Amino acid sequence: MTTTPQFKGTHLFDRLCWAKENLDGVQSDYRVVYEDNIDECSKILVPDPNWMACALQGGILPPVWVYWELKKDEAQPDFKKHTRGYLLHNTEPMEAMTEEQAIEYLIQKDVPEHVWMNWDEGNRPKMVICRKNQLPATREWRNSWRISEDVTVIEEAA
Amino acid sequence: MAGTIIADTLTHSTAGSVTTDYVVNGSAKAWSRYDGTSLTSDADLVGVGDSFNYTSIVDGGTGTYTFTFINSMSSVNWSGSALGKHDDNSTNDADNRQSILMYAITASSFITLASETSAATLNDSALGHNQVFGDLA
Repeated sequence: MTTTPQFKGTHLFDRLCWAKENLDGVQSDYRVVYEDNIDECSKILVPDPNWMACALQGGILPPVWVYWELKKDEAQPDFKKHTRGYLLHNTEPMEAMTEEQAIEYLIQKDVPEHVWMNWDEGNRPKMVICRKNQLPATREWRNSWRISEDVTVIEEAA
Repeated sequence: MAGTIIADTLTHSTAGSVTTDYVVNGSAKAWSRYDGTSLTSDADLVGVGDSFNYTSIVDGGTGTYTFTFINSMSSVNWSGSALGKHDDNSTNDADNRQSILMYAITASSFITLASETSAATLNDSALGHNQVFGDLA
């Protein structure tokens, strides 16, 4: 197995360049289906294969809280430019994750917080993790797709 | 450091010189080649053919995709381009050519809307591309 260099303090973009050259992309079977607006259809998050390779390899990606900090900065009304980009580069990178841990990280990074914080509140789940083959086989009526009210949610500890 | 060349200028024997700023600032910071019709379909496991510097693509409905960066851009003032085909096997028909709008641009993500050039109707990209240039956070 390829060994990740010691990357703490290395610019994140340089780490991604290393990963692109040394790691094969990993196509995940997992999909995250979520609804962040009652007037819109379900959205489906697809993990990027090169990102997934980095997550499984370890030593490349910053912890997810770094992104939360940058999001806070971007949410400021007077935001012009990131001044804390160093958090991406200087924070100790995450160790290797399992695919399930990587999906959990991805949800906390790319799914709106109001969805994943309260995914099971209300009459039906606002978010489910599923396998790709559990989605409709064709994209017919794609803009009408919703999470089924009859969906059976199985909770498993990570 | 092993494997590192530090240089401010690259000089060709006859064609002149270019500063390495041009290389650093002029390189794409993110790119993707994807099949928007198979991001969700079980028929083809390759929704994202290849890419760089994205964590995920969100299929937001017909012709609508959200791309999120791993290494965020420094601000919203970056430049990007995107194009696509509705049917990867089709010829150069008007209903196959797509114009793709990049909007909801932030330092950490953007959304693309793909539609036929012959109509304003959104439709899926069987082959979509995008590239992003600018300064990184």
